[in-house]
Amino acid sequence: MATEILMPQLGLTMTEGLIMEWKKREGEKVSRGEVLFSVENDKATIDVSAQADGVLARILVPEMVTVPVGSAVGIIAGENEAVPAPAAAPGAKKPETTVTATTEAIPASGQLKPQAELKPNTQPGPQPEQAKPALAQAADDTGYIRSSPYARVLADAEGINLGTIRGTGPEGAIIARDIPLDSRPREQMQQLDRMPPIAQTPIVQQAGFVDINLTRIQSVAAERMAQSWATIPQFTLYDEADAAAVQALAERFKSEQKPVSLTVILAKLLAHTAVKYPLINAVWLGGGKVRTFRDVMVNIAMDTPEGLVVPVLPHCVTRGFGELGRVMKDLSERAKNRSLTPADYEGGTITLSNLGMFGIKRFRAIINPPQTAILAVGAISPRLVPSGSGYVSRNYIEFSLTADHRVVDGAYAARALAHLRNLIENPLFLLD
Amino acid sequence: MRTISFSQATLEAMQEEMRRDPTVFVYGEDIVRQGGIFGQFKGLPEEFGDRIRDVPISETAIVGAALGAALTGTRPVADMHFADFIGVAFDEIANQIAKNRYMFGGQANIPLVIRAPDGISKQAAAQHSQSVEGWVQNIPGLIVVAPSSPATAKGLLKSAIRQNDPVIFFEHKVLYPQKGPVPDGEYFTPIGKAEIRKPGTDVTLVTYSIMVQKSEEVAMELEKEGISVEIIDLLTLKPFDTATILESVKKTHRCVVAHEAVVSGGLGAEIAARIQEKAFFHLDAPVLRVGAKDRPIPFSPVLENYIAAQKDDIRKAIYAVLYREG
Amino acid sequence: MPYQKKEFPNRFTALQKDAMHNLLRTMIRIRTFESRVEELFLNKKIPGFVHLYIGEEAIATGVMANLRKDDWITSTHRGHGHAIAKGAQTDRMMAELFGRKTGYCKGKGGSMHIADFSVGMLGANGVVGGGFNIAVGAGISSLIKKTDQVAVCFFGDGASNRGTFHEALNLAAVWKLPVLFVNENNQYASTTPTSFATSAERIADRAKGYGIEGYTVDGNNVIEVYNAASALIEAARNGKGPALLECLTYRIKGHYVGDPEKYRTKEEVQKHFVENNPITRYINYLKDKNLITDAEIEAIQAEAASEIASAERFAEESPFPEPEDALDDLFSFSPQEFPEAVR
Repeated sequence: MATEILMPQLGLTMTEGLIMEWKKREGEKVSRGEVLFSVENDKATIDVSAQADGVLARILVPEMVTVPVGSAVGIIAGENEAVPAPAAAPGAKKPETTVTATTEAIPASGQLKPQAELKPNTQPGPQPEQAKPALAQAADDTGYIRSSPYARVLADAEGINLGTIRGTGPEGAIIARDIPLDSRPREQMQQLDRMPPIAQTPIVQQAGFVDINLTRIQSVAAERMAQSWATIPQFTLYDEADAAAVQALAERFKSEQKPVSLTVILAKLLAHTAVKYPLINAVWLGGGKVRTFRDVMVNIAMDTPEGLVVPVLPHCVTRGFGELGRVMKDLSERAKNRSLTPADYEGGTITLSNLGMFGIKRFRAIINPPQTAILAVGAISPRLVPSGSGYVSRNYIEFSLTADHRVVDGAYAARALAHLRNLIENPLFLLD
Repeated sequence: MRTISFSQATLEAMQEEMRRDPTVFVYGEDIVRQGGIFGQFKGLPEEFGDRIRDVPISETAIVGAALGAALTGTRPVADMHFADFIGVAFDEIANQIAKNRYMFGGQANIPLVIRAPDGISKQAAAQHSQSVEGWVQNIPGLIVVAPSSPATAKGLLKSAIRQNDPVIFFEHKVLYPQKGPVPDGEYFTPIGKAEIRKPGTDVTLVTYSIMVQKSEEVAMELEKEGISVEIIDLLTLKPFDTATILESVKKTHRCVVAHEAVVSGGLGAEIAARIQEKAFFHLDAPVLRVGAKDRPIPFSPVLENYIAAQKDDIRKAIYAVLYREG
Repeated sequence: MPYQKKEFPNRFTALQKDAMHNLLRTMIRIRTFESRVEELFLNKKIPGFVHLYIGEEAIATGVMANLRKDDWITSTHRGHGHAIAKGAQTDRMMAELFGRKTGYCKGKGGSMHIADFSVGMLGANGVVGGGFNIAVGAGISSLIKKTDQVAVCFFGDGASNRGTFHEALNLAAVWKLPVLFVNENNQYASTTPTSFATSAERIADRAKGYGIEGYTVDGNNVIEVYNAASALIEAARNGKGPALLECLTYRIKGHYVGDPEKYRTKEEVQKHFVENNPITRYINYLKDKNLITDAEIEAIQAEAASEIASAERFAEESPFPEPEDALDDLFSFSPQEFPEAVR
């Protein structure tokens, strides 16, 4: 029995995906769980595994083509099984499709074809009989929308019509993760999701200049930064603190062979500050509303060979340093080998960017919308401070808090920053 | 903190309470001459003489007499040898002990403890392996507790002996030799209060007795996969701490209940029912139950393992409520 | 029903006249109470169902006259007589039968669960044979606390076929507990004659199986009951261990009020009531010996009638419990302290 390989939904907001690479060739044996192809969506590149044993009978969507979630991208068949050909689909080994490969479609100028034309027609002609809807829809025949009770409550709170949501639970039921809690206006989110895909490298090189095509992730980030800069009235406060205590703490974890970096320590201290000053642990809802959170989920800016990624270090208040360190280590390892999943980016409530390791003393960061604040941390450096009649050398760390002035005023941010300074200088009471 | 075994911890509880109160006494089958099948009574006869007694094999008399003794001013501790034998004395438990205080309008307290070693251990087969808390869950008037560690064993047994109501104390046989930290000096583990063994954010795992350690092992493994499990150790099975469960479920939106007893009509059913009654709109997935398959416990290890709930069953249930592929 | 008669020391003769009159007073109070309860039940004043002690008064009376207030008894579903003889107040008993808040169990027990712990009456019991082990436990309590209190377990002929009887007698014998097992053999277990349901010829014979003493007496002769109980309770109090006393009697009324009694004839009942009425027999004895006058008898009867009438008034005038009182008394702590315990 031939099985269709479908473009999976790999995150809340994913509506389409770009086939980056087929790891198997047509005719090659595959077994359940083996990686078939890789997909890039707006957040990450993810390997997709086979859901059945058999032979990769047909590749319906070639590399570098974007198709909607749920589209058939290939067929797995039993060995020696005749694969029923879709009416208009070619029976030949290499399928001809009406899809236009983006690699070919990008003109030298970099101007992109409108998205409509990029939408592949993966199943031309009549659908094969056994073709099913990509994902069961949440609504049943009577119009009842299957959903978990909690998902309903969330959708209600967000003012979202369940009928517009695609469920990923059993039988297509809508579950909590399907409700976009991110409070960007829905249209805006859809716009971001609809952004035309940009072929990742290769770089197109011509005489005199080099055009670089941003990855999809990078272009989403670019949009967001522009949106932040253009729409958020943000201001920055600078401060500094005696770093002796946090350095000692980092040393201590090191001696205990616990992977608790300075960034992790600062993330937790920031989280405890954010609990006390909830307006910096919030998202802008628009329309004069802001939502603060009880839990603090810190986005951590990370440098990877692929560029900046900002995964979430979850539950920074309730989890201890050791546990956070382990999670952070795992995140950064996976960031390096590109195996972060969409879930790793979900749910951030505030962002931390640490450029101290590059020796940068101080900087201001741009708010990661729809959040209301970001902490930028610089390097630790010695300085002379008055002591008795003379001076002593002390290590200081500089940092800045950039906040959304629609939500946070200067005095509030100053108090929060002072609280953070105090925590940096006296972090021990947070030890569990 | 000291490190002592579970059976030593229960022994200390008995010693402390018997020294303090001369009306506390303990009796059961094979507890004087043998020191209890797990050594949990060793040394008591030397110190307390007639206040620890071997009895004829008469579970009905043992349990029924505990009621008479409790009604008339003493604090008996009756040992059931194996929890399975509660069945022999069931009328005494269900119709006498549980009802006497109530049907007589609260005229007398009933400070008695029934110690009931339960659970699967060493291929003891169908009549010596059961977890029978489900049998007594349906009877108003009983308090039922189940420690999960040496520390909770001592603290709960002391609380049970001081409680002015009938308490059934289920102690899992596999736990007896296990060692663990126990606080120095006198302390009590409160009846009616669950303890959070491990905080977590993704799934609430409600469990008790032997399954607590199995749950902890699973939770540690899942932590590596980024799944944060909150483990609630019930400790008191009746009346159980609904508030702590609800608070946790409202945070995690998902719940699995794990016990060694069979699933049908078990404690998990009651917990799941209360969650859906009181936190329905917080649920993102059905509450799942993990327990033994609906069969007596068979003898052969192969069969026993198949019927009993395993760590992997807990893991699968957690994946399922998270809608993850396991 | 032939049986070996055991001659117990006749301590009855040593009693003061007042004490002898008190035995009669107790029997008449029980009879008056029960007769009125029957009427009240038939008049729908008493809900549930009731089992009457009429015709068996000599047993509770003869035994209880040998007990101290701090001794204990366990009773049966036919327990009103035991409660009265042990010292319970008839007004609070009647209020319980009426389901009132002032009843012994605040309306939670009713006829089958009357108890008065303040006088050592550890409760009537709705489960046949339910009292054996409670009495054994009370005996253990006496041992543990090193007191000389005695427990008496009343039970019917039917109960001697329950497992609790055997486990309790064995355990009491093994530990030499101060417990007296008093069998009220009223010839019927509900509808089943003793001769049909009980393998032993005499229930007292079963004592042999547990290595304890067992005797049969005429349970409708209060003097005989008094003397036997006196000897056996004294032995138990002195550490001689338990004994079994079978008191032969006859259940004049049905198993419960309203029993159609298809299993026996009216003539059989009438014969017993006329020839074997324990109260009549005792009055005849006292009058024969010139130990009582007609005026004294009438006074006792009038006193009992007035007591029961005022008990009835007390019950009738007492309030019903509040519905939510049904949540109280399950545990030693209040629902407020432990809300989850009482949902």
